[in-house]
Amino acid sequence: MSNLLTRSSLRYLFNHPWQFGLSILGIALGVAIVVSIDIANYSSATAFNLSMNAVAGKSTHQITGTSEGIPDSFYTYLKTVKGTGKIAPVIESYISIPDSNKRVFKLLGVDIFAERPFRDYLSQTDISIDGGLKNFLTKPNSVILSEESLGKLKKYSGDTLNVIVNGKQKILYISGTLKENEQNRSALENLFITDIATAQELTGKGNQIDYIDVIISNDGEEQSLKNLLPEGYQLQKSGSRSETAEQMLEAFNINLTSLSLLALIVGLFLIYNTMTFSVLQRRVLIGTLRSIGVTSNEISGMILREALIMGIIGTLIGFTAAFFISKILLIFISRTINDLYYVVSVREIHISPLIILKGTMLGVFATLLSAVYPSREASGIHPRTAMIRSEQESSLIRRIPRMTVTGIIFMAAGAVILVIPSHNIWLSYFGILPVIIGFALMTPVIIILVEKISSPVYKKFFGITGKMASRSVLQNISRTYIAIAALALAVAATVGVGIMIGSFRSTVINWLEARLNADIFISAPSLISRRNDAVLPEEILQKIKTLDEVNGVNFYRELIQPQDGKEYHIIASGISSKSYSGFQFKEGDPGEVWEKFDNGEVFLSEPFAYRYDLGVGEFINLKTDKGMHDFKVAGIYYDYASDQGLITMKYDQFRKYWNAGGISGISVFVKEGSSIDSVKDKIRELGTDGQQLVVRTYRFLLDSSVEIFDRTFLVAKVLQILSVIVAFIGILSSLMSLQLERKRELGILRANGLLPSQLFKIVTLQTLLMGFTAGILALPLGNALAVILVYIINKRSFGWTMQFQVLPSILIEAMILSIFAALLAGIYPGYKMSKTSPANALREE
Amino acid sequence: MEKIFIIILIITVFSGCGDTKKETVDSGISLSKTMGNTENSGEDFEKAIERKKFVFPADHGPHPGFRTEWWYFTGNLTSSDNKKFGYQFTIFRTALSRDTNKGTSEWRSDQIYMAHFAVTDITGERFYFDERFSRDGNKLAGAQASPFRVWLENWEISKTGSGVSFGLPVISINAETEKTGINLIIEALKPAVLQGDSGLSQKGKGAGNASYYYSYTRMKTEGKLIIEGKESEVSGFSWMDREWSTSALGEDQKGWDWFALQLDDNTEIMYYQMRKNDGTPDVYSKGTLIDRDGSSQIINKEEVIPEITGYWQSPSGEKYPSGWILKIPSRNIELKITPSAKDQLMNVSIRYWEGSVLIEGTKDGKEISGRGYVELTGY
Amino acid sequence: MLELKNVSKDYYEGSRKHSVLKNFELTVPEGEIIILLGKSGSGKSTLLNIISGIDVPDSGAVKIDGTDITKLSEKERTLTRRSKIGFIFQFFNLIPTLTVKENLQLPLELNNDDNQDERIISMLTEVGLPERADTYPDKLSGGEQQRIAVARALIHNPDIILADEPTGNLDYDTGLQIVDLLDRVVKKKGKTMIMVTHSRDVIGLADRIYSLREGRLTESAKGSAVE
Repeated sequence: MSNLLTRSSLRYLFNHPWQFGLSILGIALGVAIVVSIDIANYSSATAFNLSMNAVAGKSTHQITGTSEGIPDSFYTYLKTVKGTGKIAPVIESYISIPDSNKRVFKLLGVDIFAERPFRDYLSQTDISIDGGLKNFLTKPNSVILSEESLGKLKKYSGDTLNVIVNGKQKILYISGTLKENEQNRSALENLFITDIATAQELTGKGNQIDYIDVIISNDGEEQSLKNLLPEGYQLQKSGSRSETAEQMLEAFNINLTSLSLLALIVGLFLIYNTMTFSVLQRRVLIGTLRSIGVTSNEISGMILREALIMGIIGTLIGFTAAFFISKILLIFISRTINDLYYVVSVREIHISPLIILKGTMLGVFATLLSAVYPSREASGIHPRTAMIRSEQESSLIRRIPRMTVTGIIFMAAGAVILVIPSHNIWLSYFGILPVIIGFALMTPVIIILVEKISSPVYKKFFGITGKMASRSVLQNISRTYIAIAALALAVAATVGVGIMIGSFRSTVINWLEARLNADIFISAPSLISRRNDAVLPEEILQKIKTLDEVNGVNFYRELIQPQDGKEYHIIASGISSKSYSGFQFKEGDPGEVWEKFDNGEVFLSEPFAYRYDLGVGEFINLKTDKGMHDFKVAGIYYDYASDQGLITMKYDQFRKYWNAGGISGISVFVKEGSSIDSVKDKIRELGTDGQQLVVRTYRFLLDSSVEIFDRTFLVAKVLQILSVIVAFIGILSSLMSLQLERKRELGILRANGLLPSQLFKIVTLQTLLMGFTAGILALPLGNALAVILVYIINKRSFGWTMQFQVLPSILIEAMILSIFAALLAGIYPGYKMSKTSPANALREE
Repeated sequence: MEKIFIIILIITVFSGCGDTKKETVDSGISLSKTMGNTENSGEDFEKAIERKKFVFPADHGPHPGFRTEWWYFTGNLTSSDNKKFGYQFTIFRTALSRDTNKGTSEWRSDQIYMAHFAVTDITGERFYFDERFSRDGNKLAGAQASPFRVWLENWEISKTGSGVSFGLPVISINAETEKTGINLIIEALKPAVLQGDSGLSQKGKGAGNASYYYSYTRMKTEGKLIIEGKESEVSGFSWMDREWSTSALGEDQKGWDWFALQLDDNTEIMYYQMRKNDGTPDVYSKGTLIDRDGSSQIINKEEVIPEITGYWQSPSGEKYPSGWILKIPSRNIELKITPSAKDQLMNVSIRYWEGSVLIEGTKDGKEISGRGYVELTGY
Repeated sequence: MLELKNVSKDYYEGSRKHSVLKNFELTVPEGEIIILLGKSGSGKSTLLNIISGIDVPDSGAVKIDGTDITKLSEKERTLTRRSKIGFIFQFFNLIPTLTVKENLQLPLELNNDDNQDERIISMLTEVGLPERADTYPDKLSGGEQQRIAVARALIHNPDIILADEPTGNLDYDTGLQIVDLLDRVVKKKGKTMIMVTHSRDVIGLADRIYSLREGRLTESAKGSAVE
């Protein structure tokens, strides 16, 4: 490729700093958003895996027992009777510290005498228990913490610490310090290590341990160990818990990623826009080059190289920005993960080569891709006819019917892809792409229609300059349509996400209102909302029932049943018939389901049924404490409490198959005429022996649920705002190019006696019209995107049915946003044009 | 008695005046630390101050009021195809404290157990050893007098059958590692010897610096021994030591050399030599001569002339005596003691040399031979 | 040697056919300067496009040094144009993002021709603008721009120069200067040139003069009036 061509094209880029700077900014933002979401996701996953690895140590497998755990005696049996070699008992739980911003820590109870092969950070080289080993083993509630954790808590060895374990207040004694190194520092942070005896006493697990870590070196050992396990026990690979966690987060992560891709698509539109403009602007130049003998391949190569340069610069800036943005996103994301999924403290940014590769591919290759069409346009420029003006406009006008038809075909193709029945979320996102392209292709025809209406209106209100403004949108349609499409797409994206969140929110609120049909709700303090692992003693339920003011109670026991590398959330429900109406059934005859429920059949929540593809009348095979058992499905109910899905069964039925005692939650109906607040206080006093009860009223529970919901979607909102910024840059860049392009035309107007203010008016009126047109386009597209998000993407990600709800405010906001963005973007070019001397403008050619 | 090295631990490791690294090589969480503790230096524990009346079978069981205690077995065995073996199997108990609040957990415990198990393949010139730790919580380890049983996980010394011989039930020892295992039936052939002053064995200056100590010096042993998957029928004689105390080595004491010798004329000699920091024997060195009928006589330090005839250097550089001539002129005894294998180093949390030895020499002018065990600590 | 044999080219305006060239014949021996006169829309520019390989005739042959370029692919035609043809346009069409020197460098570089600087300087001297080498085109007057354009058309030593109304955008005096220049540098170098114009001031240059009317050529006597 000619050195001079390169120089020429580089000078062109430098001579149009606004145009290319904004495009690069657009790519940079797009890349930054995608990469920072990736980094945030990856960092939280890495932090989780590190802490899981710290907990799992070198174990290859784990023996898990029944819902209650594994009795001490089974471990002793393995050790003393069977002489099983490398095994170690573990108790895991969570601790929260009331006066430490409610931080959550992991409690790990181990037997140091069995630890040697497992967790090497407990060994001599990495740990020093400064003389406190005797205390660690013999003093009740002794724990060891890492130096880092101690530093953060401002505690020292020998101090005491007030904590809450399983809803009970405890005072811990710090008997030693864990000396961490660089590798395990973040993994050991948040870890409270205790003797297994202490762990049992703290968690009230009785003579049970949670699981047994195992190191197995061959299949023979695995088989012989399996043969020793009683009914209901499992030997599973150590990594399976991390995998389960990854599965849990999969849909959540994909959705974040896809939202970020939306921003990138807008960014790419920007590239397309810029490159097309640059080609249009250089038609004469390119024509001359062709006449001189530059081949068409050399021309398209030149355009692609320009895109490559922008792509590379944009990507580099994007990565730099991502580093900072991800730190902010990480705060939101890890809060959501802690709200919903599991406890993890993310303190470091982790970047994988894959993230860098993906970001680079997206930034550089997608930029190139979006420049392919403009580069082909450029290479197709006829050497000499290119010098004839307005040829491009007339050629676009001629192509409009074909574009419109192609657009319709694209949209139809997208629709077909979207309705293909599949659980695959990526396929759905892939289906959105043709819809967007189709929409862009249909933009010109819409512009013509809008102009037909606006032209007389503009003339009437703004006179001949008004009409000129209106006509110029049409006259320059090959340029204006791209700008309008870019703005419309960005606005549509915010409309789509906005409607989706709004629909989801109102669906959840409606559902909560129906489901929370009691007056007071009681639970043990749970550290993660969707992992209700803390339980209340059963006698609390009896005590509440005997209160005079209480009219009736519902209760449930939630159990997380690990099975085949998955976790099933089982709700054992002690529901009274007056609360049946809280269940809305998607499948199953409401007249019959409750009788079947009484007879031992189960209900599945909608996400669960979707995820495991189960219907009424089918069976689900569950691992119970009494072995595997098939449960028949009586109904599928709407539920938005857990994206993992729930299995609900009658409490009595549950107790037939599971040993787990305790109550996870109780809801109370208060007799009419009694004060809810006074009952609330009475109930609170029922907690004895340090047992903390979380007692909430209907209103409070509803509000706090909605609060968690809003917090979850905060990231989506942030991304939404970021894509609006990208869109704004897009429209600014388009208008800027457009107005610069029209320099000569506007110069002639000035030469003919138009005042600068009149020129400014023309530009403003024109951008107003463009903003309006974009808004008109964005509304149907935004709604279409919302429909896709609500009925296809969310359905496929989580299996949720939502009531589609369009808030007029969202639409009005979109229109305002669209017009405002266009106007704002028109100010600078308008100002600049009006200040340009007509002589200069005319001299340009 | 030799197992006073626990006491060494207490001194060197827990009072922090010793070279801890040396004692805790390759350990997991510093378990050797667990085997003792510096806090309250044992004031709360009982001490061996006065002579006591030994009561069996109760005294075969644990004495949790004392800080340390062990059940110690060594033996020299010969297989049916005439291969020679030695074994050591010891279970130690250490109390972290007394009066621990037991709480509600089965695991809560202040009694820590440690076991050492070694086999010497004399013919094959191989030495195997292993160690284990556990707590007595959740019945993972423990000791009881009746029915007699001392165990750590599945390593176990326990009463087998109903036979009782000289106050001790017939016992079986079961232990296995990845490479070796023993399954031995052991029966006392002589009554228990109360060592020192009727079982009160003074180890250093001051009241309480002593242990309660008795031995079964000759026990019939039969059973199976497995090495690298190969099982042999073996028979021979074992030696059992029982000792419990709360005391420690004196500050000027560095270690000891201990000899348990079983001679072919159905007599045994026990002799220990406490070594001072300068390497010279302490006055508290002492021994016992056990006659055919089980009667015993004390041998004082002055009666014994030990002479080292060779040394062996361990891979980590310590120089251990490896071969002795033990003269007891007052008894007209001169014995040449040779290790069955040079390397019988117990390279565990606490490193020491403990090995089977061969004996040749003269007694009353007549040639005599025998087999035994020697323990060397503090090198 | 340039030969056009039986060349026809039609255009369609909507459904109406419009013949620009009809069985057109022209042979230009090496070193000859031909001037084509004709009204706007008479097909002058189409003819230049066909000779340069930018456009292809519907039928007939265009032979440059014996090679029929209508049989070549688009790329081969471009490469032929690159080496054998120099263009001079009415609107100069210098590359605005390249300096004067670089504008001259471009055809050389496209033809992988080294030894550039010396030739550029001498060519600039020849067109009388040696001191403007590092100036950008937009800083030059129209006449200066066209001088540079002439230099660009000649720098890579093409066989044929095609000039499309080279004085059409210049004032009278400047136009004359360009004619002088062409006379000096084209004629003296013995290049073949085909110039399209409707300006009579240029006629003095020509070896032969043709009028293009309804797709056919009529040779005019030198010095005769055109319109």
